[in-house]
Amino acid sequence: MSNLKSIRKWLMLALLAAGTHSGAFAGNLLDDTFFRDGKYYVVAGILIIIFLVLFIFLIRLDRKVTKLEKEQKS
Amino acid sequence: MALVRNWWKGLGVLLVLGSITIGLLTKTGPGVAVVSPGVVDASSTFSFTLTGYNTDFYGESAPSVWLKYKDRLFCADAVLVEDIKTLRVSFPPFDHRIDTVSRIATSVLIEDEVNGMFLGLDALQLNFNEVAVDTTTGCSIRPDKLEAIKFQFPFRTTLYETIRNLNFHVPMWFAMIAVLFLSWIASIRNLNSGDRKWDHLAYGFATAGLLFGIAGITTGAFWARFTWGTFWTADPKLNGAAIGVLLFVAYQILRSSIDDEDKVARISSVYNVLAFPIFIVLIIILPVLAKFSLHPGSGDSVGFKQYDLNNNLRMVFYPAVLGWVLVATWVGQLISRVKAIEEEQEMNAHE
Repeated sequence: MSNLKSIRKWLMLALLAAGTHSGAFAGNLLDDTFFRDGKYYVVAGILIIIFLVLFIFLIRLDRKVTKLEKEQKS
Repeated sequence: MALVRNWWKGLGVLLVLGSITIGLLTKTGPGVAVVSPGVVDASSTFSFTLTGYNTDFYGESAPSVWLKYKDRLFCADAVLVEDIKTLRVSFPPFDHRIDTVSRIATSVLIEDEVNGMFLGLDALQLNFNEVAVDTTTGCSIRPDKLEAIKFQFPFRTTLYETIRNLNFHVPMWFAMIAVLFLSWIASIRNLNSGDRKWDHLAYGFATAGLLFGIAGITTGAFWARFTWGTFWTADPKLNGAAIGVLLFVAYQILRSSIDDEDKVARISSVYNVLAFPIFIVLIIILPVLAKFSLHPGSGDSVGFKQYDLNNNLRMVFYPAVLGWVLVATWVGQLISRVKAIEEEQEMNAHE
């Protein structure tokens, strides 16, 4: 339950951050990063997404194996 | 012994790491970023400023510039190198139209020894006042078709460096299709034999397929945001892929909504046997049939025709596909192994 609460807290913070940014800074932020020169940041973004998905898989697998180990012991 | 048996996992990791390394380190070739002004009046002397990308105009030989319309070439009067990436180009007036219409889009062709030959596709529009049409072949000096010897990816406007994402985004889909095919085979074998180990494999590969499908969709949306300007657009390829991924989200929901393990195995196998052919229709056949798509590759489903001139992308892309297919197979195998242990423990718990 506390897990869910902390997730909600972080989500609120992220939304708040995004909200304050989008007005004054988002245009500049995007121009300075993903639209800059050769758009090289987009390539980095794509690779980060792929590895995020792989890490999410690893976390899920880790949880399952931990559960199995606990059951094995009991 | 384990090392010998798992050779394909090592090969997958090597190919993926290799394709990421070479895919990131390879430079993008020279290209035309901006031609300004983009529209000129061709009936009097005209000139424009050409801004190159990844170009080096400070070579020993001055660059030659042509305007290309269909297979006709027109030579520039004067080419002035302003800096390493800027040229000032002037053309003599055209006495006649070069086609029946009053406005045509011409490509700008540049060649020198450092950059080789490269083209700004439809970069300059010409307006004609004269009505008479001239059909001469243009100027007699032709490009030498010099090739830059460097190993480089082709330049495309709006894509810039992101052209290398072809080596990361597209293999996700190949990996997804490959493991879903394995899952389909396993489901058929499960229905034929009733052996639960095939259901574990079917589940593992289908889950791995979903994982790579999600990676394919998110990387695609992200790439689209900074090239097309939007995360998502109603396009036969995009929507086909989205429904294709949803088919296998439904597979997961179907499995988790049934309690009886035997029924889960059989019903989900039947679903999978039906879903995979529909998935193939959605992700390969419909996009190829679609008349219009923003996504490259109508007819060849990957987009080489549009993207590749020099085959360098292919040399990184094919190993990347094989590598990711092997890694996805590994992911699927791991999930199915965990599934098998899970079921065994549950059976032991019931006894």
